[in-house]
Amino acid sequence: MMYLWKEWKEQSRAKGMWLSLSMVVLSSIFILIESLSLPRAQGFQVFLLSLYDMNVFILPLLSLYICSFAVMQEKEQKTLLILLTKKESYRKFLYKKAFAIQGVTAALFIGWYFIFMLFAKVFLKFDGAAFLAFLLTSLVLLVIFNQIGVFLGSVCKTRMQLIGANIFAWFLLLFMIDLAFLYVLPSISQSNVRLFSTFYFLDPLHTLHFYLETSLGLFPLDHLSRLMEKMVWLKPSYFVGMDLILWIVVAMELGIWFHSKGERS
Amino acid sequence: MIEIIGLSQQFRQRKVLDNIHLVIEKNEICALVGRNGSGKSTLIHSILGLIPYKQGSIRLAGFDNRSEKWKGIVSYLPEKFQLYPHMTCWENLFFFASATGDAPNEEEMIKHLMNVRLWESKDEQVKNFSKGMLQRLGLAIMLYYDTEILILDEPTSGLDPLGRIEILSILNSLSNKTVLFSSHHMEEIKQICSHVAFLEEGRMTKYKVNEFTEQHLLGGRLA
Repeated sequence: MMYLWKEWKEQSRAKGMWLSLSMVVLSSIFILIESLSLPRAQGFQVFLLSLYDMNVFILPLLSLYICSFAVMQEKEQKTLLILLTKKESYRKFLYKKAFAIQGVTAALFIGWYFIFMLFAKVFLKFDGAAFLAFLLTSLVLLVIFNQIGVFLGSVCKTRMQLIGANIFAWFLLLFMIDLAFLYVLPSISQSNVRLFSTFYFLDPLHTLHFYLETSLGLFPLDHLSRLMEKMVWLKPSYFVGMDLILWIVVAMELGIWFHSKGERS
Repeated sequence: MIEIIGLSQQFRQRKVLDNIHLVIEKNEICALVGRNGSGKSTLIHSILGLIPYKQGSIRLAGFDNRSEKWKGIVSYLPEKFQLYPHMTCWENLFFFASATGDAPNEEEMIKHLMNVRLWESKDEQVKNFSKGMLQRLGLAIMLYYDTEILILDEPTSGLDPLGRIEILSILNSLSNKTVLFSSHHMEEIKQICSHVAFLEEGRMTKYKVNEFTEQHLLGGRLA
């Protein structure tokens, strides 16, 4: 809890987190204004999907930067060295740091969406279940990219390296992976669709979008082609759970492993 | 007591520390001296278990530094640290006080802030602190831990003469502490140290402070 307290004090008094929030606030308001022209019956669901689609471009980048620099600062300010010579091991430090930064960013961004929905309720027909699905999707997106940020902050040695790594991670997950999937798409058949699907749904951006679309009723699962039935071999929520656990564990363990490997060399 | 026996550190093909033997007795203040890049920080990080080593052994107050037991016995102040700039002086001390795993003792915190003359600035954010004030806050954190061994990496580097005097007088006032601190300033070494551990090309020689001269540091090039 001390880490959470410390992280809140540090982040809330710095400008970076508030600038990030202001970007999300502004773009959310624009999406709401755009959605006012939608039919009232389905407007809320489409509005949430548009909001998520906008989040996909902003939230990962903000998460990566906030979290990776929070870890990097501990190294630059030498506070990590002081802590490691007390009761902390690097593993314990990184667990606590990740928990704290996850808590602060989640409270901030998810808190904003709660407030924002009070406004949205005035203009659109509110659907509690749809809102919860949107909230869960945004939270998982945030948590996964926060964790990747913690990993990058742990691995990189300089600020310049970290800036490059953040942009690379963002570009890779948002664009490059899709290009790779497009390349193999023509060769997908009934026999290899499951293997393709496993890799496809390991990408949190694919999984979360699919989960949200199905949860909002904008992509019904009961009229799928045979190929698509084979492709969706698990419930979308299971794919989300799988991604969440996998990315958190892999990013955390790799962050610890690379750090200790750096010390050994 | 710090006991280093046969410590060697090699990074790729370069031997940074070569069979180092060093004993710093209890209550001794020893300066660690050497040219830039001579391996002082590597030695300090090895002592603190921050860099693993394959050859040799390090014991701190009798505990092997590869176990976790020594962590309650040693405090470390790194070179050019900054702490958490957006937190106040008090909040920084409070957070680091909690790093021991126990609830922070506020009476002790007040005592140490007064000791380093930062009580008046306790509600100021650390980003507004001068280098000297930051260094004194670092010392307050170390003193709060009240450990037997203190290791300081160039605690007076970048300070003006008055700032140096303040830090040295705090270090001088310590009793029952084993202190190892790295420094380049012969004057301050002579002021507070009883011994000098001189590191040159990976090899260590320990001198009594009055036996050590700047000629040692320059490798006899002045003679």
